[in-house]
Amino acid sequence: MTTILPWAALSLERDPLELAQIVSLPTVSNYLLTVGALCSLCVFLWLLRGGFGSVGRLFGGARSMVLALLALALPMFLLDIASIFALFRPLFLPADAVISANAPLVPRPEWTNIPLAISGLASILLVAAPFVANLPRLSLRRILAIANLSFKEAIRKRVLYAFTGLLLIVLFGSWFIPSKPTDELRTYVSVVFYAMTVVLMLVGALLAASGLPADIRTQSLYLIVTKPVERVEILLGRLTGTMALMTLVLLALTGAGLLYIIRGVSPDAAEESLKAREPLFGILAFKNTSSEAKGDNVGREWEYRGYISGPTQGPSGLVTPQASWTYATVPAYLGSRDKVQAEFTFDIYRTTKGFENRGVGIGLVITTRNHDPEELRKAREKNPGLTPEQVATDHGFFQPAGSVTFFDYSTGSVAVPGGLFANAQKGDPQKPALTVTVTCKESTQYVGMARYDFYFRADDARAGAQPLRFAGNFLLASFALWLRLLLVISVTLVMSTELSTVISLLMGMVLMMLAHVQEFVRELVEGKSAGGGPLENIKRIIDNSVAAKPLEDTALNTLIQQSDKVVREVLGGLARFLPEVDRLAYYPEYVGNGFAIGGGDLAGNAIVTVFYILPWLLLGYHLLRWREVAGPT
Amino acid sequence: MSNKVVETRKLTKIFLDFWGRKKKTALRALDIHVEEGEIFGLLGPNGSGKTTTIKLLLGLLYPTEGEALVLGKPTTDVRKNEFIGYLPEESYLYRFLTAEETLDFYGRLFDIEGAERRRRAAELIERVGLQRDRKRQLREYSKGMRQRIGLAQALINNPKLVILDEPTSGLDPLGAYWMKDLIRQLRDEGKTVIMCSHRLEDVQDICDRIAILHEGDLQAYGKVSTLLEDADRLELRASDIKLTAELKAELAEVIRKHGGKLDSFGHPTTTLEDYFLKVVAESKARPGRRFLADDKAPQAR
Ligand SMILES: Nc1ncnc2c1ncn2[C@@H]1O[C@H](COP(=O)(O)OP(=O)(O)OP(=O)(O)O)[C@@H](O)[C@H]1O
Ligand SMILES: [Mg+2]
Repeated sequence: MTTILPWAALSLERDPLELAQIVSLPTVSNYLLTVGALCSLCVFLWLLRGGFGSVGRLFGGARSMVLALLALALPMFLLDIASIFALFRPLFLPADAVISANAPLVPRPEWTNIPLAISGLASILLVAAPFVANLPRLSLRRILAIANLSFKEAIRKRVLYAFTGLLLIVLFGSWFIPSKPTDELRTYVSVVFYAMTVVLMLVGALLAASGLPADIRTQSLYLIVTKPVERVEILLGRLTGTMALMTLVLLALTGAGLLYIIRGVSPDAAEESLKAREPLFGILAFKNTSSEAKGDNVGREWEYRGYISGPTQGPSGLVTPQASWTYATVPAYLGSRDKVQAEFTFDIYRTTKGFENRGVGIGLVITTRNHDPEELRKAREKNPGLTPEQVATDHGFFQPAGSVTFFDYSTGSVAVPGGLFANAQKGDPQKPALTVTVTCKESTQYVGMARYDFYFRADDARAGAQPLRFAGNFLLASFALWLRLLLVISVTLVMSTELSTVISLLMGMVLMMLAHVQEFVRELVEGKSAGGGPLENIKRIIDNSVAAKPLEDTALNTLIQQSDKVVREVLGGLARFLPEVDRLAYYPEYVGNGFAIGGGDLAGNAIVTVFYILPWLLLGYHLLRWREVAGPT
Repeated sequence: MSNKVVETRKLTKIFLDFWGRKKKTALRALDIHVEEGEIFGLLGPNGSGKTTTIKLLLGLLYPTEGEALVLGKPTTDVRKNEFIGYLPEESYLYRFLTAEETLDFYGRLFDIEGAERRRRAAELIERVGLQRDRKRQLREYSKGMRQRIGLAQALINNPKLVILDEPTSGLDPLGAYWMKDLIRQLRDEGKTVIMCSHRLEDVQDICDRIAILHEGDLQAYGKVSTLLEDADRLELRASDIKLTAELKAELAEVIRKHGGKLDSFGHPTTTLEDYFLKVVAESKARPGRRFLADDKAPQAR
């Protein structure tokens, strides 16, 4: 007795980053390792280049402290050197050795993580020390003066207007995209966000990339650095000014986009999608499958979902593979609702052909921690007329009447009695409050599921259109876009302290694109993309040869294939420094499908963004500080 | 008066190309100092290293060798900038700002309070004579006007040391005269001024001491009066007297008697600069006067 919801489908292909995951020891130590590796490399290269003499002068009285930090940072530097050599390791490995994008370049035992993280932290402190020592001298008035200047510059130089034109073309071009009513809101939202993203990123990056190089070219910078201005104030001022302007543009675009969507969407679509569903996700685990964490493998190696089959013959009789979501707690207010809606989107993998349009029967059982099958059986014997509501409230058990049939690529829904959630409030808090168990009823089919494929609706499923909540949700997505803007502008700005406008703009854009296609970069590194590594692909393009055909066995080709491995290692090394935007980029999808963006996720996004930017700003600080402003360019 | 505001020790700048090869030695082992309250002139032909010296003093360039102390601090210390005013060779101002905004912007960079900033800006705009144009964007300014606002921005912090790179370049004689007058005023206010120029008459008029550079080497260095004194020659001027052959013969006789030789003899000619200044002054006194072919009104004397 399931209803198919054609409207809402939130199908993630990768776990989003979550706050709890971000604020965790492994993440922090990984961060220190990655950033520390770069910092220690810079520190020691600088020392070797003759910085030894200036250590004392730079740090004044804190000399012994600096020496201690240097000693601490040394292991990280040695690891750096080892890693650089390790880039060439594949040359000496057998031709079919696997290169992994995530494995450390230099194999080392697990316990080294923490000491190395400390070494990394010491390296970061060394690089950050001059900056931190500089902080008390910074003046807000100066930073704002430069911010104000770059704001005025952008407006009076009219860089912005050309791009507003571009925006209008993009927006008007998509105005006429036809769509089914079920896809209407999704299409609107994705078009609006796509247009906003393109325009904001391009304009923002262009502004960031053009300011400083123009100042250097026209020598306006001479008059700024000969005032009592700390160089980092120039960087922060430009960042503030550009961000202020782009924030205004973002707000204007958000307002226009919202208006366009809310007024343009048809009443039907509004009724179903103009809202912000609040999904409650559980923790997924599998039982009676080959892996408890991943379920069964259906041969799609890098599959995000885990699969369960129908009952199979095990060594000791028939076993039923299960997937279950557990909830440690559920909100109490759901207990007072008449019905709470559960929704799910699974993937079907068929081992037999035909029946493509037939649904798959699945078993769905929801129990609370107070459920005792024996007790329920006795109660039913005593009173055969027990209603599902009574069973849920008193015995913590719910199973939809009839069979649950599920179709691929659609969202099913089941109305669960609110009493079940009231029941889940009681009992031993050590046990999970609620458990959802899913089984597959047909032996020739596999059903694939991932953590975010099943959820309860914490909002009221029967409410109609909620434009205000939708708008609030849209604003949250705009904030996520703002974070992305901050990232692009910061990175481009830092590049522009040393590089020309065009090069900074290009590099900034390439970085963002690579970040968006990280999955692809990883495939390239691991050699899974068709046609071999990057160099081999280039050769194939030149030769005009087919990707599937192996290269002929010539000396040149061997050279190419061996070099490719080094290129892949280098790429893999660089890929570690890409921002993980592909895991942060799902917000427009949330909004378009009418799902509320979790505040925690957004906070996690903000943290990731800020911590990604910090090392860049540090780099910009040092580049600008050492730059001979009037020197040869 | 023997307080050293600037001191250079073996200050050297070699420009390298991208590959680190030597491209040009712009300044070689310069040893000079500038004393408090004087106007110091850096002289030299094009490309002799004047601007390079100034940029080194300001920390815009880093020395290849040697060092310089400005107001007792190393040149890379930005805190010294608190007391320095700098007018670059060409106007490096933001053309999209108005004169008022320009002064306000640079005032902010000195962390000056709002009210004080506005007071100083108004005062300086008045001083450089730009009241009527203070709300126009600098892109509409003429070269001379930009030089004036450039000077105003150099004075916004009431500096102790003013560094002027070719302050009179691009100015008409009237403007140059005004600029020189202002520089003297600055000295009278107790400021130290370093200026460079290849307009010798400017330097001669106002500088107390000079250094002459050529190809990055110091060629001459010292007090202007001492450097220029020509002990072997004599100049004589007289007024209310007619030029006659008799007079010439008598004078020649007197000079020969004292072991000298009469080189030339005649009416002095005024410089074009003096003449120009006089014409403009007359024009100001009688507005509406114009030069017409048949009207011989503006004449030398
Ligand atoms: N950024 C630079 N890169 C390479 N060479 C430079 C650079 N700046 C100056 N030079 C060289 O240094 C020398 C001195 O230049 P500088 O600008 O100091 O001359 P200047 O005395 O100010 O001349 P001018 O009277 O023309 O202003 C010149 O030969 C110039 O080519
Ligand atoms: Mg010059």
